[in-house]
Amino acid sequence: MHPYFRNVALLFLLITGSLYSCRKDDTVTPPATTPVASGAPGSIKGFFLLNEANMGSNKASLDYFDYESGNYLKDIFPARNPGIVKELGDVGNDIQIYGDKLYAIINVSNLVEVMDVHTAKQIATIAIPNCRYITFDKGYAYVSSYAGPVKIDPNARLGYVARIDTSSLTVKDTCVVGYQPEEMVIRNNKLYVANSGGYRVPNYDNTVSVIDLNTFKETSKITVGINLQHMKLDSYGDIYVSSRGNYEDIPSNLYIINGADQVSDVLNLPVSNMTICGDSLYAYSTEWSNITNSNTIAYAIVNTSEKGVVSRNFITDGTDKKITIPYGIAINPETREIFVTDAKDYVTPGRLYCFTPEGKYKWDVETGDIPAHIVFTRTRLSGL
Amino acid sequence: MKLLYNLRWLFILSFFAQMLSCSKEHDMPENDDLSVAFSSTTGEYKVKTGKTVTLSASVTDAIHPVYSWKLDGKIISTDTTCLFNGDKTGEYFLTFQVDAENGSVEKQVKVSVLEKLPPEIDMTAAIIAWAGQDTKLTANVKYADSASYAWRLNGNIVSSDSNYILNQTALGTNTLTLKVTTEDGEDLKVFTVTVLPLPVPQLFFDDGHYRVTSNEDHHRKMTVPLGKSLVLAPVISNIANPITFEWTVDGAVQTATDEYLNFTPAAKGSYTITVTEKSTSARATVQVECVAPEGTYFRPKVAGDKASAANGFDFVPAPGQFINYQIGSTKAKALQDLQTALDNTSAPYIGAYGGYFIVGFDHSVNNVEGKADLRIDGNAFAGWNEPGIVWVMQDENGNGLPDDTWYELKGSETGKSGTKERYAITYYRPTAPNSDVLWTDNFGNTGTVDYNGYHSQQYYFPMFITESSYTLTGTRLASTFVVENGVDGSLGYPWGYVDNVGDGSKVSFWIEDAIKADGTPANLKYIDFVKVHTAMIGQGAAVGEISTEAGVPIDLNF
Repeated sequence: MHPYFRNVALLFLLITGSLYSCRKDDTVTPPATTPVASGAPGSIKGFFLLNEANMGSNKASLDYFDYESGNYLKDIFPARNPGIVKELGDVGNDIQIYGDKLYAIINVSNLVEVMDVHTAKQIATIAIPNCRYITFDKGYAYVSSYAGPVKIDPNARLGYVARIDTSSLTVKDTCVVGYQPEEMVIRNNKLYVANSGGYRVPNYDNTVSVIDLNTFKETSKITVGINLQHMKLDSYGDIYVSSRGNYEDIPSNLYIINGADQVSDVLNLPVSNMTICGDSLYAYSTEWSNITNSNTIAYAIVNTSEKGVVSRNFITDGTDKKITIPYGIAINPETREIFVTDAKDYVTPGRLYCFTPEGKYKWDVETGDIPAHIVFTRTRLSGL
Repeated sequence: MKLLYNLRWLFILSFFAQMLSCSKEHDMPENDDLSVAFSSTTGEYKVKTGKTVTLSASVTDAIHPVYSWKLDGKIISTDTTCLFNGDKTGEYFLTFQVDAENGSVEKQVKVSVLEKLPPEIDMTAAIIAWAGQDTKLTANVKYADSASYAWRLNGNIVSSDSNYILNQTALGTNTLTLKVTTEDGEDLKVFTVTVLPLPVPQLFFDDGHYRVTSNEDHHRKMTVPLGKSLVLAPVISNIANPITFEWTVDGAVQTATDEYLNFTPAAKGSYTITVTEKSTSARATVQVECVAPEGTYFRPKVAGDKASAANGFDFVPAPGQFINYQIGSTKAKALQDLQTALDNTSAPYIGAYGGYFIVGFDHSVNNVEGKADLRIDGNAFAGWNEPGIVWVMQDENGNGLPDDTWYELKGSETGKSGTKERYAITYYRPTAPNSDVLWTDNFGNTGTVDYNGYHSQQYYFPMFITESSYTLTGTRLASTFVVENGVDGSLGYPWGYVDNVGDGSKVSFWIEDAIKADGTPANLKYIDFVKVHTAMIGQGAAVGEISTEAGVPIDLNF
């Protein structure tokens, strides 16, 4: 980039910064805008990136990438919500869009932050203890909750799924599931919940709970593997669920639950995080071993029609060497660009890497601490 | 002769089988009964490479079933069990299928083949032992091939065998640990051993209230109106095979020699009645007051009376996750909580088996023949029932207090073999916070009400009871607790119980169902007091202990 433009951008930042400070006595940080790509219009207007930030730091933050201008805006929430003193809160664990609303799950702050997807202005917060992930169906949001304090405890209680009416934004019901429930998917009017039991180490849970959405009652549990976390539904109706293993003798693994609610395939692929786009499931694994005291990192693609690993490295140009701790993963469903975030040392700003569908480096940018969760939007953020 | 004998049995059996299958067609939908459970409750089996594990399914109520175990679509067994060879490390999912005339069920289990399989101790942490008696403890350990064992009592090694015979004379709690080591690893379990006094054979009369050391010597009192008869039966505690009983009335030996005395006094007055179990000489005394004829103290409804029970008389919960009477709380506070609940037309939580409340109406509730007289709500739903039993009492002596005679309202399980009348459970006050509550019963069984992660109050035991234990008596129903597909359930019973869906009559109760101690009808014209107690013992992972959640009793003839 030409130095002149950078200075203009800086000047702009300074001006907007002072404008905002007129509105409020506290200093409200304006978003840092970094041009990272050339403008590219499309039906996907941009994406929100939720930075988790280290537990206890109270620094969860929201970034936005705008396709039309190619600008990356770091930390947009405070300037758009100057009245909210504590900003987003502690540990941003999931972010999704439903209708006109943007939902961010703030795990340790025990709340769901509901924002207007056009403006990123707060509409409401919904209190849910130790909330983890969110999914939607027929006007309801479903949020998984550990339902207890953040604490390793052999007697940690069973978690639940809260059912939220997305018009009134209130919790209507809860359904008890397994221990420390994580990600969920909905298939044929049934909600599948990955139970981790992470607080009960070494006695992890090993089940997926199945909830009938008509009665909102748990109807069965499927035995899968210990310490389950991520869950995705492919276009063939198969559910992929990942196990974190026990970090010692039982490795992380990926399983497929078929339409008959049975485990049909064990892929023997360690998975830290994954996303599905078309027939490709992109997964990376950073496997920490207490035995070797080191991380092993891999970037794999599973073809969901063949149910097999077709690539062990979707970053093809060696850029993966620059990524210390891959943390978030997303694929633009339109352009098939691959996004991988780097949490680095967890306590300083991370980086977001953008790759072509072929896995070649396009651009990277500084993010908040522990960049983690990305949601694409077809509504362009206002005021850009 | 032998042949004939067998034939006769065959006939009887087939007759019964026919009866059963007939009633089944009427009562239950087909298919619902066909169910499959695995010997591994976690749904997962583990085996070390090179070893074999037996997968075992139990199938209930399948008619002419055909079984198959499949791995990757291939049938590897056609029995209810399947031998799985751990040839190669990895995770395998096998499907067990039952095809029967009354339906098909398919279920999956997981087998993990591991290079190393450390031992896993599978035993509960609370152990009850009797002072001076041997308690044989057997290590129940999975994956314990050529394991070595180390039992430590209060820090000292006491056994290096898989068994340990514990014999402590001092009352109180001890810490016992078990360490199991194999070439693949080790597991350690810490137990709390509570040494209780050796149970002694006892008889006592239940007056519907809790029993503690400080009141157990008080004379129990009962009443009977002139012109009616009273059936007396003692609670039989720690007498394995009671044989003959001797009854006396004011010193005169009666003809009855079993556990029931049918007593019909000829005149008003006070009678001292004793019962002695001959083999143990255990003995109990009750004071029976013969009072004015039934109806003398009937209290008609007057203006301002309430349809719902207005006055709380006693409330002693059994331990439970919703019970929160911590150290320093008082019985007076519990009674006040009962009254406050009644004033808000609700009722308090009563905890596990035996926990109760006793309430009274401000008027007598009539027994209207052929219709329900009382309504007591619960929060049961299909598949989750926590049945409680209703007892009623007439204010026979007219003193306004529930110190007369209790009559149970019979239900669908009355008289069945799984139902235990005069079942007494003793709960022991925990000596440390956040711990399970131990119990023993009058048959010598022991168990615990477990502390769980949902409810973080220090004690689930009602700490206003300052004695080391208390005893609650009532009628116990066999547990209908089940874990199906990993989900807790309690199926409940057809009719007659609070907090039980049953056949749809769930909240209605009939005074004409009142029975005497021997099950014969009590024929009460009206009642003044109601007692509800939890009738089942059961415990789930997700739901905690079974505990009747009852509403306030309401007069349906008001």
